[in-house]
Amino acid sequence: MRKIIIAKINEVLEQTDRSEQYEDIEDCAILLQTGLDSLGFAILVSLLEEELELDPFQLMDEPVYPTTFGDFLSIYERHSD
Amino acid sequence: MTNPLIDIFFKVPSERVYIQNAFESLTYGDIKYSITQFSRDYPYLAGKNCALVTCSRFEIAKVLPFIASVSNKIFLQPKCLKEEVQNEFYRKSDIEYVINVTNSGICTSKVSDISHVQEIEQEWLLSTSGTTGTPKLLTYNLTALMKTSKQDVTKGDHFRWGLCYDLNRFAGLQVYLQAIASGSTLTISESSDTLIDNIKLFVDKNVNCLSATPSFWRKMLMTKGSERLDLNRITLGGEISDQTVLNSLKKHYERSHIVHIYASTEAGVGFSVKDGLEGFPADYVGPSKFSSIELKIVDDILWIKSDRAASAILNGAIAIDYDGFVNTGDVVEIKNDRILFIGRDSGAINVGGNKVIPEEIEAVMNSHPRIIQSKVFGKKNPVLGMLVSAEVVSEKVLGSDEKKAFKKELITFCKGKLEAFKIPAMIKFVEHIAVNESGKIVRKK
Repeated sequence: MRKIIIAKINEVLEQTDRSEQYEDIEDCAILLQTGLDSLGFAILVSLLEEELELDPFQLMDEPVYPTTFGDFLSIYERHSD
Repeated sequence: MTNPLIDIFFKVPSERVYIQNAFESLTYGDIKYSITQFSRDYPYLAGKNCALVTCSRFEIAKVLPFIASVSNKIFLQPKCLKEEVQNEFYRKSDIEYVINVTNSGICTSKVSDISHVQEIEQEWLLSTSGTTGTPKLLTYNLTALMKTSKQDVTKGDHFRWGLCYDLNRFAGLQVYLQAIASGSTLTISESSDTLIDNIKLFVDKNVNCLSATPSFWRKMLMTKGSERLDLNRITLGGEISDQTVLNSLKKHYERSHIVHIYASTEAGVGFSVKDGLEGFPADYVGPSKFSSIELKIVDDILWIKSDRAASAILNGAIAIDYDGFVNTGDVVEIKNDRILFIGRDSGAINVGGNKVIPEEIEAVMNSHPRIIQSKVFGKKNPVLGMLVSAEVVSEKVLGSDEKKAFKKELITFCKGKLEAFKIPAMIKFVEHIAVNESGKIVRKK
């Protein structure tokens, strides 16, 4: 899951004309400081939905908007099975 | 001419703060004093129709009472209005003076010499979004605009509003009027500020009432520092408020009173929903539910009748039926005694508060030599409400790697021709796109 998300983050960064590319991202990294703005983040969620056929934000009982990469990853891990 | 805005400055205790930002703070008393001074400094603006131009929200809030105290009509001109549209608007609304406000002061210039009717009540003019389509120019009666604002000056002392909209837009003006009608303090952020700056400013100034779009709130909830805001009133508007964002706000700001409002610029302020659920109760539809508005649904579209509606439309057309209902263009669905908003009848997509017209993007995509046809539509998104998606018919059948490469090429092709939020985030290759008898793309699902 981690790999898929990072690959998609890189894809979005490229798509939104950002120079950053990541091999890995630390769990404590602030999402909106990775180079993704809210449009980039929105695209990321949609690309992941396309790839995984999963939109965890639709499925959540307790709504959470993730701040860090770790939060974001754990939302996908929790909903992927 | 009676002026309910000016009356406020003579009613609110002088020492109370009117507006503030990180650098400056002005009291109601400061403004009251300057109103008198302004009429002495600019005697030639008395009774004139003026357009107010400035890039700073703070400056608008600062000079608006001065200009309102002398002029006949005020056009709150948005930035980036095309010159030909601007000139047309000036002509249609009989503008005589343009008032430019910068950090270094006020600069006036005369644009016409017309004899006009003196209004009994002051009129304010607003333009709808000028970035897509032809902007509309609407006239409001100031008294009608201020009708919904509560005017309890004693209670108003406890409300400290934050402004994160432009003041020359309907949403921003509503927040402004609501705040000052009861003598509350308005803390103003600028559109150039980052969200972190906004939050810091609102925390520093103890802002406890905030009105913003659902997309703004979502982004805010993802930003560190937002938990330090001590909010007791949260308002959402300008886009569809979904259950997730409502629940999330309730969780983060337990003490706050959460209201989502439905309003269209054409219809004036619509109504608010206070029960924390998305959409609105089905029994809002029909006569006499509210004192001043009436709703009806015709062919899945919401129509609204309001005595606060724009008093005249100087540019553009608005659909109004014989009974005085305005077509809002919003498609709705009835589900379990609740009326939910689905999208726009025109197919217009709202990406985080930015309006996108599908035809504009289709025209760009169709100009690519290897695209036969395209269809652009909104796809639901948990971050920005909607994102732009496209289906395209390519000149020849593509393999999966070719599709990937072509998708990349199309996105690059759109860059420079379209703003970032208009570029399709998802592109799907299809064999054909359905059209109706008249050859138009079928948009309704």
